Amino acid sequence: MLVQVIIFVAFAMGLGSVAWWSWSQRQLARRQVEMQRDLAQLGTEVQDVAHDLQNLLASISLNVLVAKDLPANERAEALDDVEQATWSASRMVAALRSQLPMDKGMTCRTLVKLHAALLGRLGVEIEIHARGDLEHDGSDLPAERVVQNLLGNAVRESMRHPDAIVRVDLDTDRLVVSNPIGDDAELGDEIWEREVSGAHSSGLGLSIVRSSAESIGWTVRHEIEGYVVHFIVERNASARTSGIGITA
Amino acid sequence: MSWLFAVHLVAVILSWGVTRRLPSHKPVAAFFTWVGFLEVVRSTAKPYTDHAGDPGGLPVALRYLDRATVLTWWFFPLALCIHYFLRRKPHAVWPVMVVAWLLIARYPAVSAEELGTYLLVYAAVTMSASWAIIFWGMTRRDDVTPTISHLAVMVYVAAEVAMDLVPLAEDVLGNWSYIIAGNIVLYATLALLQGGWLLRKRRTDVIGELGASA
Repeated sequence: MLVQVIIFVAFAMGLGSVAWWSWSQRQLARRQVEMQRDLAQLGTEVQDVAHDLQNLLASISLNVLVAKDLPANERAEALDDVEQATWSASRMVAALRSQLPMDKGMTCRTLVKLHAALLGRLGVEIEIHARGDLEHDGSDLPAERVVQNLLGNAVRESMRHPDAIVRVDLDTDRLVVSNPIGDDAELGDEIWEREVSGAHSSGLGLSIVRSSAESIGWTVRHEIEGYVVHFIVERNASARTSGIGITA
Repeated sequence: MSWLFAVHLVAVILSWGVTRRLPSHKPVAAFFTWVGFLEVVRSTAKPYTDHAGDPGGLPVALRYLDRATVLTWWFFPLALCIHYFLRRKPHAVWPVMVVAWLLIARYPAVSAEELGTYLLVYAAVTMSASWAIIFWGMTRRDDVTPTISHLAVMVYVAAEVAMDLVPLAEDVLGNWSYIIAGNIVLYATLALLQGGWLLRKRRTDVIGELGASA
């Protein structure tokens, strides 16, 4: 009987230990999955920031190149814009390193003017009609990424069409960036998805626009009118009721 | 008996050793220490509690303590289960102990039948509640990370169930020699587990220090 008790106690403790071991292995596996998911998320963020940085640096480099041949007053203006753009690049890296956002309190109108000026020097005509300013929640860094990517995309597409004009309409309730598209362009809603492109590009720009816009209370959509696509950014509250009166 | 004290003492010392490296192990170390202290007191009281009649004075006090220990024992592992597997304060356990204290207060006027019923209900409820809490914590709580404390509690609860079930099935409940043998195996296992954990921790710390200095 004594041996029976000892064996039974040992057996019960063995069962308890096995239960604990299988539990700890399951927890370990779950943590590894979470870690992999976090790493994948970090990888996505790094890829997005690298995309925006690359565009920003290309723009800075070309503006510096162009500035050398500009008259003194225009050169000073170009260098001011370049300075702002380098500051933006620095903020993107800081945000990736989870540092406090260094907001400059830039409004949407200021951002549009800055990036239009930077991209305009590349030889594409950008027409700005600003009747108001679109407000946003939180940091202005996501707002800048929205504007930078929309204008960058528009300029890149316009370069394919001679004499094309990029049009920017800014009002209190929306920002609309319009650019020409080719007749073979396929611009369904999937263009907002990651790594999906209707124009043989990286397919990251518009997904960055969407995620950045959502983080500051904006919504984004697009409408096609003939050979022009309008990218429309609106405040969340007005997004449900408004339309810009353009039929696809 | 001396074997039981020896392995129990080793398990208690190692549990405080683990607490130095893992402060959350403190409730387990405190419980093992408390159980060890009670074992010493109960062994001292045993000649008096076995003695027939009602001698009064210290023997009566020791007899009350012995009863109190037996009738409330399982509430402590239950509290540990709530603490470790539900991550909650085990306040809910203490009001339930009132029933036990009422019985203790009435002792020795409590009938054997009354006592037997209480022991059966008390063992069934506390043991099943302990295991229900353990399984709930393991399967439903993502914020509970398995540590040596959880292992110690699970091993303790498993052994206690076995030590109560076998004698109950064989109708030899309360046989002192079975309890001693079962507890020797239990505390030897707990000493091994905690000692192994400390050794492994020491080894990983040394590797970490070597890595830091390299």
